[in-house]
Amino acid sequence: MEPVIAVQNLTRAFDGKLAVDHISFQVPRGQVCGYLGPNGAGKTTTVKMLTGILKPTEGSASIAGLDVVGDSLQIKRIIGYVPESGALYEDLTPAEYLYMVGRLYHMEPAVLQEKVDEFLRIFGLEEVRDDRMATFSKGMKQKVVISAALIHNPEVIFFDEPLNGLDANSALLVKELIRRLAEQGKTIFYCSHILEVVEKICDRVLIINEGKIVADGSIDELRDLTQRSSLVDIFQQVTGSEDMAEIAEALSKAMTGP
Amino acid sequence: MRPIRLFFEWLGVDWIQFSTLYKIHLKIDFRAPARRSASGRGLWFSMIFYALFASFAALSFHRLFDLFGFTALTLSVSSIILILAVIVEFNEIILSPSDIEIFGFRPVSDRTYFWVKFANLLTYVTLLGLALNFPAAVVGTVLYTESPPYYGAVYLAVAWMTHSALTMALVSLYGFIIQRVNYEKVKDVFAYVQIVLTFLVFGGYQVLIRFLPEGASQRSLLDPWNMLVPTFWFAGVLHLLIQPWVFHFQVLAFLAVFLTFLGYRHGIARLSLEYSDLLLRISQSGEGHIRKGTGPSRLAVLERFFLRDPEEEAGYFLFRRYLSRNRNLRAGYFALLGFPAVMVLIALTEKDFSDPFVQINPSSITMLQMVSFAAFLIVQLIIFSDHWQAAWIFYTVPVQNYGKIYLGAAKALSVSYAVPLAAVLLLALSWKIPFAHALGIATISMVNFIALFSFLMWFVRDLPLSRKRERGQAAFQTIVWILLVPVMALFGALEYFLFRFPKFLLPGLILLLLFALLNIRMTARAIDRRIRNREFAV
Repeated sequence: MEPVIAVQNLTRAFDGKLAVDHISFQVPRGQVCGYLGPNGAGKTTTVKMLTGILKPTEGSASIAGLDVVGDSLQIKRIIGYVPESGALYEDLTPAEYLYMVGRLYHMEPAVLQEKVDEFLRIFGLEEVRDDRMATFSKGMKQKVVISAALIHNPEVIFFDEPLNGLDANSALLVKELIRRLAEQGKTIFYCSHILEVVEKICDRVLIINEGKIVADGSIDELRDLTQRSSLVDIFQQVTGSEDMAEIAEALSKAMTGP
Repeated sequence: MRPIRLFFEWLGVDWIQFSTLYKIHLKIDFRAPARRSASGRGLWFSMIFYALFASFAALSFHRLFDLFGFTALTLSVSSIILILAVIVEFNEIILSPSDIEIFGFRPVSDRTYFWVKFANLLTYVTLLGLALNFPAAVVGTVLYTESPPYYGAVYLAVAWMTHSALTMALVSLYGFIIQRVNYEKVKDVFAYVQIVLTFLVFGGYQVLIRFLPEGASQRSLLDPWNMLVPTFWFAGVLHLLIQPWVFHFQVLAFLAVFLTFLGYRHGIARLSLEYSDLLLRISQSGEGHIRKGTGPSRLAVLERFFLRDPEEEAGYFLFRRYLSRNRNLRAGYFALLGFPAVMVLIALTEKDFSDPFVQINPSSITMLQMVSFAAFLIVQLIIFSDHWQAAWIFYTVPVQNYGKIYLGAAKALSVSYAVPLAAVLLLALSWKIPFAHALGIATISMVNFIALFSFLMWFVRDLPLSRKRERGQAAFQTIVWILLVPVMALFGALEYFLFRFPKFLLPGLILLLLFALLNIRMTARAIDRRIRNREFAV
């Protein structure tokens, strides 16, 4: 099957330091691909390169056969992106913000207005549709960011810690939504620290550590490969972070002081 | 260091916490904008800009006033600029809700916290005060024959006293107001105070020279009304120190000392407690009340015609909404609108104002040209926002021409600026000159405004509302714009030409408009290229 996301030797350096180091992978259509890694491993940098915000230092990547550098405009038409820290124009109302974003995808005003209303209703933001977002909680803002990423019905969706700030019900809604989107044939690239969620919703897991892909496969494949039963254990093994007890011990000693 | 340490401990300040936090605040405050290195570029630009401005003011005042008038006016100008800087760039020292999240749960007492902030503020006041007052100290010593050789040194000392007393009075005022009205209202109040002060800084001189009698030179400002101005009181202190004691200087000096005493008494003895109260209020009130928005209104028919595609529409829509709701943007807008409007009204009230199509009076023409020259300010106003991080969205959506998003915002601001101002011009001028001539002047001003704006777009490198306003950045940009004064002169000359030779009015305006429209198309593409090749880093 033709991969929707194809990454070949993708590399990004900041001030000479490699944040993403020659990574390669492919994601087929309709797959929910989890992208895991410790803090600073290179997850967000990878996603920013795939969504056209950052340019690769080396290597190439394509989305639906389109090059992320040369065809970034076409790619942006077919992707949706939920960034980790999705800042909003907080002096706009959610309805205004979604309308503005929709128009940038050249959606027809009448259709767009209906979609905006629908998204606000589904996410429980109907009551506050005409309030400035400056007054919103983190979770409410996150719902607006997710709506903005989906309003144009993208083919490929990048989620970077989408459950940040969401309450339990909203988190369940998003998880269910991801499942449904995959059933519709959408390709999902899902970055997260929350291993339990990844374990539940992802067909496949990529683990990145210090800029390099250190594991790639379905949860079952990774279990067989590492002889570990849970994703937490697998993650610890492949990222070399198994000595947590030792670190905790050192920390508690440091706190009590010499 | 030991005496200083003992002094602070006597004040109830934790010395270790104070010195640690003071140093770290200085590092943050004077760090160059958007740079990782901790050089003081931002502050240096501010100081250079203020020194240039103060030099111009000092030389102008020397020509017009006696030594007392000179002292009082230069102290007034430097005080207004300093207070403006404190409000614009340092208001977070007194109104900093984020600090409660950092320090609220740590064992830092309100008193220590206040002194850290206050010491930081005084450092800033001292450094900027030096830049603002040094030119006046030199001009006063060298150019006034009656001033003693030590005038400059005394001037600097009195200026510091003036600025610190007024800053303390401002700090007390913050505390006073915050106890009576809510946090949001206080910020509104300061936004509008900022507009008035901005006008005083940039327009005050124009007003002042128009109220002087013709041919005035080395004029005295010792009249009773002026004695109500606090900076004149401090000028009294200075004159008491450099010349034999005179009764009216004694009165003024007494008032200055009294104000200093009051400012410090309320600042030091009460402010730490008030500050605690303020922080408590902020932590309890959170974001404040909810303001209703209007929802995405259908664009008016005129706007649909006016906006060519969804990208322009997005920029226009976003900026229009922000203009009506965002406090900082609104303050900037009112300053933008108010300044040329007042200049036009001043020009019209001049005794020798004449219809420029009949007889050209250079002074009046210059005032009328302010309408077009506000384009310089508009170009700057569009790009800054406290929500600059939200601009990431434009980098992830399929924008075909980033220049059009900017153009949309520029159209929003231009409509809000140019339409009301053209109406003001037309109405005000019709009162003095024939309507056809008034219409001609308003049209020339608007077309010149569009042409100048299209030219300035060549310098645009950012999307609307996509840049954080850094400390010292305003001063830096003002220097850049000062370098563009020859361009302003060129466009001014063009206006002059059209007034002088009205037979070229119609073809001239058509040509100018064509130039502007063509230029806008090209600059939009240039803006697009610049932004497209940039990575948006939050």
